[in-house]
Amino acid sequence: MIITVSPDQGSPARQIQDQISGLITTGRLGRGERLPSVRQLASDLDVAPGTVAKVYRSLEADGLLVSRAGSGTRVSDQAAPVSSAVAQAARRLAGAARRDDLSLEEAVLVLRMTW
Amino acid sequence: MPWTLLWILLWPTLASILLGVAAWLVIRRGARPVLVGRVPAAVVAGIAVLVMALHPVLGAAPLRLDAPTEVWRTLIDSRFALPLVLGLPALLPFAVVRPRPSTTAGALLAPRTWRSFLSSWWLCALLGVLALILGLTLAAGLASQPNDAGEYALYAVDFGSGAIGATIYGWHYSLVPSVLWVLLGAATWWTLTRIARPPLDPAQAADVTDRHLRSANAARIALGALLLHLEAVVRSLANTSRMTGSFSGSDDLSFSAGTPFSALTGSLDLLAQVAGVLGLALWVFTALTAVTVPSAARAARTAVRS
Repeated sequence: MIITVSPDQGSPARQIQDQISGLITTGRLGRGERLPSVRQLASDLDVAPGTVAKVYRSLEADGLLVSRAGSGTRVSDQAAPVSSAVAQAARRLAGAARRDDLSLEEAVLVLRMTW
Repeated sequence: MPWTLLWILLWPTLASILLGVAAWLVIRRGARPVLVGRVPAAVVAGIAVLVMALHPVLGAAPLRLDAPTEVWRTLIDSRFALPLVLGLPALLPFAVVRPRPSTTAGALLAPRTWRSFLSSWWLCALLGVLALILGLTLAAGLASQPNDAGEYALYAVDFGSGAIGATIYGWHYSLVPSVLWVLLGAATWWTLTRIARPPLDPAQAADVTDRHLRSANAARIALGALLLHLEAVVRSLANTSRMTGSFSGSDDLSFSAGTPFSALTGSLDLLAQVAGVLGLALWVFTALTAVTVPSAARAARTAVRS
């Protein structure tokens, strides 16, 4: 999952927050999944660390993220509809299907047949 | 120096080079060479291999050259610390040389830590060899006694009617190497962190593959250094285990006695040999990862052109 920041779509903090909360609420980020550190995400997106720290604090206040000393920032257990294991397995399936040039419908069919 | 002596001194190095090249030809076939810092990495690893190959030859030089005993003593004693000293600068190219910053295509929403690009097998191998070194260091240190100079480097066995003693890898010899392998562990962790930290390149798959290779190379350098250090320690213990003495009993019968671990001499020799060849082969392999494996198709094309 890649998130981006573009200069012509509003404040970087808003863009980052919208994308992360979108990934959590749609189940693409599972319960308990670890997020990158503030410093790593800020460096990757070329924004100030304070911007990312503000976003994380805001998402924590919304109940989407939890931060614990020593274990970093994770998706809150109450926020995501699916577990981390299911989200990761779904990403692996999507990646493998794309590598084999399957369409979304074909990938869903595979999943349905193996259910 | 006679050819036989040179052969005895250099065959482990030649075996390591052959093993490293064979592994490189098999494992790296069809793979791209390391992209970032390939020249410094190959040069530093190559120099480390060369120094380790020359060290036993220099150690045998007193047989032909006349020089102060202190110089040769220092040279021979350096065998414990030398691999670790060489391993530290050999890690530097992987930590210091970093890819040119490119325009980021976005951020991958997953943490990148020192473990992200390192296979668990490398970590297990590093911790296993380190545990073995630690165990041997503690055992040899506890068995050591102060010699005439007050250095904990003497192993003595008392038989009542007499005692025998020999040099052992005691606290006197293990202090500096112990500090060095702690430093090597810290340097390896720092190097792996430096490899993982920069943002991923837009050409993500190639960047991830390169980081896996550089992380494995850093682990290979550290593991090679630890194995070569282990070789020196085990070889020293094998030499200590060979100590024997002859005594006369109260009824004028003479008897020979050795160390309690003299039965392990053969196993220790074998372990030292295997550790030394493997350790140097890992460094040879690392130096070669900067080079593309020649393919049969390319060789055929070159032959046609000429």
